[in-house]
Amino acid sequence: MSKARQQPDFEIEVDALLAQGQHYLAWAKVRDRLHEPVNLTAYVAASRFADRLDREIAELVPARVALLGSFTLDPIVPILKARALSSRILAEIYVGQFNVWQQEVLSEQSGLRRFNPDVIFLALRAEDLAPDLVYRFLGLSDAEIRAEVANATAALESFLGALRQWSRAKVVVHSLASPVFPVLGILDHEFPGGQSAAFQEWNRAWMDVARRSSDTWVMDCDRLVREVGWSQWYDARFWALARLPLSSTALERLAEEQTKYLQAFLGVARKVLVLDLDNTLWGGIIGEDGFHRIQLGSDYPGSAFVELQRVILGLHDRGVILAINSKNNSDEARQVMEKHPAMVLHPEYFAAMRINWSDKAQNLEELSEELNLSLDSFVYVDDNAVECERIRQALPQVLTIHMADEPALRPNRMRRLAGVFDTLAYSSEDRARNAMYRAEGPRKTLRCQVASLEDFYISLQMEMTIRTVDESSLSRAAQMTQRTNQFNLTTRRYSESELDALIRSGQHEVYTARLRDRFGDDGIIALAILKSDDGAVYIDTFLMSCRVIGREVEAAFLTFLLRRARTLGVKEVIGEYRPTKKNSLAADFYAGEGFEVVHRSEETTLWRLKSDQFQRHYPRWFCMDTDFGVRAHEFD
Amino acid sequence: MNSIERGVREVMAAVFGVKPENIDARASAETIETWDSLQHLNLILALEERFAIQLSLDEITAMNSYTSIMALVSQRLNGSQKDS
Repeated sequence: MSKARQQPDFEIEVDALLAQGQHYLAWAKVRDRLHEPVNLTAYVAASRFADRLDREIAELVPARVALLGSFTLDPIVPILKARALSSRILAEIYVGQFNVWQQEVLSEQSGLRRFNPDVIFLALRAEDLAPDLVYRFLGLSDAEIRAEVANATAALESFLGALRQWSRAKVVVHSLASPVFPVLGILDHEFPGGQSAAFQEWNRAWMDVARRSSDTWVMDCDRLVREVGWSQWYDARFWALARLPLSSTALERLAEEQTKYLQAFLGVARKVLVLDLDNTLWGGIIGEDGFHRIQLGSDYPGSAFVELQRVILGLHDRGVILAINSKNNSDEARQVMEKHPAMVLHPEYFAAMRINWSDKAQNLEELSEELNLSLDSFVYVDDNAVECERIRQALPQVLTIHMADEPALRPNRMRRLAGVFDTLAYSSEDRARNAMYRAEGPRKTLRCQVASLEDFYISLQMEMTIRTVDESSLSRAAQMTQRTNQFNLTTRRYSESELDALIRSGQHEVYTARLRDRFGDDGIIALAILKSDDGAVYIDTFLMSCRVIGREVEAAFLTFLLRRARTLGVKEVIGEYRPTKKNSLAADFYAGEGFEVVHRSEETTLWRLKSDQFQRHYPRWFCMDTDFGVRAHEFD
Repeated sequence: MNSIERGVREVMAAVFGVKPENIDARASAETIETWDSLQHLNLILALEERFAIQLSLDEITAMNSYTSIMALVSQRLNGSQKDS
């Protein structure tokens, strides 16, 4: 069965951006595409785009990379070029003819000399360098085995010696993968004279050479083969056809690893990991579910979130700077981080936090200022597609990762993602890095210009549908009154039967608002209960899911209710705010909508709007579908 | 044009750097300049990935033209047994 073709949308989008001269945005699109599941065609397309990007505008760092080896390496070129591009590196790649790697450094006329590389990857097969070690192992004496290893080591040393006569290029040597079918079978790994032991000795000897030489490293290929699995790594047909012992999976994995070295050499590794909280570090929403109902603990999915936190803690210990960017009441969120028994990432592990109801792009700008690190070293992880889109649009230099997979899959996804932080140095300073940032405390934060929120809202293509509650929505409506705590003006709880009774009473109207956008259907996300009373309409209940805070859904919903009040012919609309520990977020809602206070006490504040103020426009970015008809976006 | 035709054209176009419209029944290793042994390898890698198939060595060496590729890929996708 043929695989469905991945839409070439990204190619069309990148083409369009290039045509507009938007090279940085074009690069960001390619980068984002390469962080999703990729195939060969995507790699080829991406590597072709590399050649069309203006290096300066796209802020790419150039690197001259040579691939030398004892077997065919050419097919890796577009993959390596694409992966390097996603790490901001514009790689110009030279491939040596296979098996002339020694001549390349010795000859003055060689292609390698003329290419003058910054980095050389050396991929050698044991079969080529020491065939007896592979095919006649048991026919060799101990002394002969040692001699084979010594010869291979000498070959590497003379390669480096010759190279260093004319080049300071960094050299990365591919280590040997342990034999998967060692000659002594089940005995081999325990036998000191076994084949596996000889290969380990070989790799150790090469690592000694690397340690003694400057600018030389050994890449651990064994780990890559283990991750992929030998049966997926080695392709016998390609070997027979073209002396390419690698499958396309192997080529991709190698290119990924090679890119991490390039990233480390060029200093373009990312440095900061910024995390959302709800449904990212724990399951559920603290503001809605409460301390005891969020998913974090020994049962799935809580256990997956615990494991994810452990992976992130490992990154902290490695020197990656951690920060939080979350839409929440700060106290509630901090309480989880400080007191929840299963929480691993306590506040002390974070260098800075933004837990508020502001625009998340604005928060990232402030974090960048506070940490004194530029946004192109930031990685942002969030489960919410809309928030991710906001950041991608407003701050393309941030690497935004939408992590909404099944929780069980996320720890490994984070482990793989962590490659963007890889460097080639580690010291006690790295362990202490986060603490150093915390100690310095928040600096003066400047308000920065971020790309227009309004344009972002418009790009979401949001549709709001408002209907009176009916049989099909009654259950959800009741549930919302019971579970919504943050954006809830009066926190009145209703069961289904109570709501039903209200509706039948004839004095009440209950409305639900449903939201759809480019990323999907959020379902019913707001509810209002109106009561007609003596020439006025009283808003008994007005609440909204915190998932959609920040898009002025509440303003649009209220606009509808005011239009309804107008058709009822009332003189005023009364709103009420009853403060609780959780709903301070909504305290200024009516004030912001032009209502005036008519009564204030400790338990409640009453607000009033007169009928001459009922008429207003919906926010321009909503397409409204209400009992008054379907209205496309209202642009003045 | 069915989806197999489209797929093969797109893969060949991507690998050889030509426009899909320019791939027709006459396209072969003789007529396409960039079709050397290395690109042949890339072609096989891309076809296998695109159509989620695994080709035998015999099939790989036989696929040196648009028509032979179409024949082999269609045969493979339509589930018929390879003639021994």
